[in-house]
Amino acid sequence: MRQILKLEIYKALRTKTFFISIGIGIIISVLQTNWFYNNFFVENYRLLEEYMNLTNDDPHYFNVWFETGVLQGWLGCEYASVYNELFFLIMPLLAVLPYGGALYMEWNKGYSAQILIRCDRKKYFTAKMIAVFVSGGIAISIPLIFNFIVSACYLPMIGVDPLSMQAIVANRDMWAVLYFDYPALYVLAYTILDFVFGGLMACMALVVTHFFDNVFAVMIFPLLVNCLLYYGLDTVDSATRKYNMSFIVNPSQGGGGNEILAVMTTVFMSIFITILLYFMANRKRDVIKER
Amino acid sequence: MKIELKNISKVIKKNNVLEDINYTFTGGCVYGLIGKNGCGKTMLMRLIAGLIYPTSGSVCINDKILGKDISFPDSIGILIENPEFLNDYTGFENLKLLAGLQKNVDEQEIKDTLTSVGLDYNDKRKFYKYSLGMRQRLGIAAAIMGKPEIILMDEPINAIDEDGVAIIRDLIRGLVDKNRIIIIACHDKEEMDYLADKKILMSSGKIVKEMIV
Repeated sequence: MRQILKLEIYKALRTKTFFISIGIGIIISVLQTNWFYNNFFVENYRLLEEYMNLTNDDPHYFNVWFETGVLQGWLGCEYASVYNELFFLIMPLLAVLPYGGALYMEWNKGYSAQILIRCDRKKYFTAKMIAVFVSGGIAISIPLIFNFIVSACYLPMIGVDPLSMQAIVANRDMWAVLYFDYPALYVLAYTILDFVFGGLMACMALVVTHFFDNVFAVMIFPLLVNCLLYYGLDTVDSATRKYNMSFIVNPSQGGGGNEILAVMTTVFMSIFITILLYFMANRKRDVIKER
Repeated sequence: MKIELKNISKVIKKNNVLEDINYTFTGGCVYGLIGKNGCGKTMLMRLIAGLIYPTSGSVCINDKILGKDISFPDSIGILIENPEFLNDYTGFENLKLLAGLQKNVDEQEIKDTLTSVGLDYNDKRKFYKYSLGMRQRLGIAAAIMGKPEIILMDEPINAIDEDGVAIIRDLIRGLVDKNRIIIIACHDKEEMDYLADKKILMSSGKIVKEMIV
């Protein structure tokens, strides 16, 4: 198992599309930082300078000024620009790009046969799934971590002051303590969660590999599901939000606040269903596609 | 070494691509599958390799049923249809990746195998830059790497130049061993006469005749 897993992960992390995916994530990340710096950070300091020059007869003299914290500038929690929504909407595409279409390509070209005659069928599919999961998770995590590091270069490592009325996460929401008091841990916790969901979204492409005759359809499928969950299901029944993957993945918890139990239920159910469908689809079938 | 095909039939989309095949392959000789296009030669090879499952009947390799006792033959090398490898790797790297899954193949053997099919193991060109003939040679190298007990080759001399054909021909004959079964499908009658010890004529998914060369 170790050999095939090593081979699959080696292949997954060396594809051009893996770097393209990370590149797209980084570009969104840089654009977001640029936007936030110019429209928020600079503006906030201009406000401070203005307050400092006020005299005590000015009606604004007693206004309170709040420092912008690192979480406010982080792509995951910064909700004023379009970039947060854009990143999490195309998240399935970024996750699938690196290696999500690999099984389809290898199966249809016949390369899978070369592997399968040299290793156990179950090991091959397991290794492929792990590699796809890891590549998808990394493709999502790197832009988030990169953005956090860049934000931490110019923003102080402080949580958001609840009195500032700028906190997107409410006291009752998931990991609120981390959000207000330990921003780095909040980023870490959410990056891990997004790693898992990124991996699962990539694996979604694996599950549908044998149902489509086109690699484009395989790779676009998770994005369509995400759009359907984000726009469709939520419109039909907003009560499903706390179990809705497309809302859970967003650290700004803009869907009205996440609940740890609902998140964990969604995580484990998604993992279970993905593994079940994947192995059912690949249990016993001809390696070379029947035409 | 023994491969037994017992009442094999394969139906794909309501078409009988293989019909009631009974045959036993034994080690020590090269079997040549002959017949018109679409007569089931490639399908039979896929079946022996464990890449497809029979609709009825069974394939036994050394008395182990394929798909039941074993998923794939324990020691097999295949060249079926167009050889496919990873585009962004060189020939040597591709074989090295595959060899990583086999415990009995070291780097020197990969180099020797590539040399034996007329490829340079120092060639830095990626697979996608390979010509058809080079791809075919690499496919043969992958099939014989590790000296498997069963070697299946579908049209092994396809796209290979004249000098190359002589190299591959001698290479295949040199692989004959009492513990090894080599099955080849080839359209070139002359080549088949040279390569095969036994020729098996197939027609409409059935084995029609066996001829000893």
